[in-house]
Amino acid sequence: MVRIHGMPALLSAHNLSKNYGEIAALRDVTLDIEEGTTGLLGANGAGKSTLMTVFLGITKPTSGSFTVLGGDGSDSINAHRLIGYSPEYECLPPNVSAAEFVTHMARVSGLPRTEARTRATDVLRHVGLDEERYRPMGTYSTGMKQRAKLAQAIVHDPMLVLLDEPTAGLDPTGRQEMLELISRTSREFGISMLISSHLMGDIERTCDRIIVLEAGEVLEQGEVSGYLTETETLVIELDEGLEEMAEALARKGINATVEGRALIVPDAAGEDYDAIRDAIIETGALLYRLAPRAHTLSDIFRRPAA
Amino acid sequence: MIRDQGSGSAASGPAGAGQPEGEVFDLGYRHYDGPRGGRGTAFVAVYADGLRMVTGLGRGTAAKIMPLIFALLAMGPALFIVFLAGVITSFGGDPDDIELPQHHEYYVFTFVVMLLFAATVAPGLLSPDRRNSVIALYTVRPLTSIDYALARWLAFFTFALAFALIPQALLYASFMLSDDSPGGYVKDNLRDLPAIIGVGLILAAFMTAVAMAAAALTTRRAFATAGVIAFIFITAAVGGFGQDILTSEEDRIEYRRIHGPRQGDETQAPDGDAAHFIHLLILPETLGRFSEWLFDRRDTFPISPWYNAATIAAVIGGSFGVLGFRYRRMEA
Repeated sequence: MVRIHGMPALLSAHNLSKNYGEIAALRDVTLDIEEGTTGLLGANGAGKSTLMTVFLGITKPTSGSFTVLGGDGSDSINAHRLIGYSPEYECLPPNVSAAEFVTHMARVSGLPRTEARTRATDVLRHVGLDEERYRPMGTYSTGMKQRAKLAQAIVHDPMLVLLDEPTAGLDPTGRQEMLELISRTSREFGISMLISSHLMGDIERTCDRIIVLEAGEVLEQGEVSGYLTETETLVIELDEGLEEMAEALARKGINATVEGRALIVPDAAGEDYDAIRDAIIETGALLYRLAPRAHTLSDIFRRPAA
Repeated sequence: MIRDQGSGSAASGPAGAGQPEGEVFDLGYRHYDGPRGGRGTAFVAVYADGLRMVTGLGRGTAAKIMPLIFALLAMGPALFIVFLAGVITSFGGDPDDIELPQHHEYYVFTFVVMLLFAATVAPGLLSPDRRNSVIALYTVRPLTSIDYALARWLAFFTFALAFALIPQALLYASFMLSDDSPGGYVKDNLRDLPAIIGVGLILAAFMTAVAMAAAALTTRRAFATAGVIAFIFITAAVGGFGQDILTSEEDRIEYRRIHGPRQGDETQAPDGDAAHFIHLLILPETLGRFSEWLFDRRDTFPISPWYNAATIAAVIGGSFGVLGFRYRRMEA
């Protein structure tokens, strides 16, 4: 991965393993988390949360080493001043208001009293809890709790924030709002983020880089844009007559396969476009869309493991 | 004009000719470049929050009622004694003519109030944070889980100490000021001051230790409350049962023949007998004997009074062991 401004990696793991008895949660993980937004993608039980808690010093690795903000990970207590964390599960005291709690968390992160109070107010406004900040958090909806969790994670203006499944439990609208909020927080405020999710859409929309974990191992890592670039594969979406169109293309020497409501033409070259145009005219098909297909992150899982 | 004070969006618009230029401040998100405290700051923040939790500040009304009731219970009788001594003195009488409770006697009463206070309020400083997983947010801040537990421990200890010492200070001031010669009172009762402070410290540490250890063992406040009461009663039952087994009828007859009834010697076993050691498990009485020893209110003990001190130290030490075991590393 490209390192920005020659800075060392924010988080770095070297041959990191974690076993819970017979079960291996992490297997020989070696990776770097750079500045920017990194997505940690994997199914439930892939080791995303374990990796995060190891970096945070909550879980002790069985073997291997790691660094946090350039320092030894096993002694990262001072680095914690510049790190924020929002766990996957509920972690807010129900009988305390968001204003009180976020202010307190800023104090515990080392900020002076007045600054803690001011920043808590600002951050709660930023996450959209301005009106609700004096209500006990036990009365909040799931979406509001996720926002309060984000607020406590960024209140001390950290360099790096680790968000574990920040859209868990949210409905589609709530999820979209939360992803927008995370993107805004990361891009506008320049806070680097490590976001874990089992949803590819979350990572596609918010992250610059991606690390795919499967059964505790790093399956892939790279720039998200690299996975989403256009391919040589053409997608032809028609109203009807897919089979007829496929036959017309075959007569012109183009091999097309039906996939749902579309025809897929692999490795389309320049002259193929003219042939496709002619075939559409011949068959009189109603064309909805003709475009190169972009990779999606789901392709990563379709690919056989290296 | 819009003045940007951070990384938030900034824009400016033309001001109309002759119109006063207004200013809109877009604070946006501001980075923090000021000082950042470390482990010490974090410890003090958790301690200060613990103080607020004990008093119920920042929590609902219900959370404020319990500490208020206990504060009234702990201070009320002392205030009444002060009032009584004041009235007697103002009518030209001598408060010594009526038997007002003395410092060590008031501590017996304080013990009961403090035990209930510790059992009901102290678990609220630890158990809910584990139950609600708030502890995970502390452990990723610049402090260790042991720091967190100790800061909470100290927060409750501060209140327990206040509950122990403030009524005693009121009594002391009252006795001193109602004496014909306040200076003479201090000179005649020199032992009282260090004893008041010593017993107060030990009592507060004992209550805090037992209650916080119970709170560390469960995520439910009610279980911790029950655990504190159960610990005191079960150890007392074992102590009482044990001493009965270890004291034969011949021992009792022989004991009464030699000593007659001796104050505070419930076991009625010969001095140094094993029954006295098992009797140490009745912790309220052990604390009582420790108090009598410091206040110099008792001449003889069937076993060295240091055993009382050692038992209390063992309970406090053991509770720190429990706290350390439970908070040494918070695995998620």
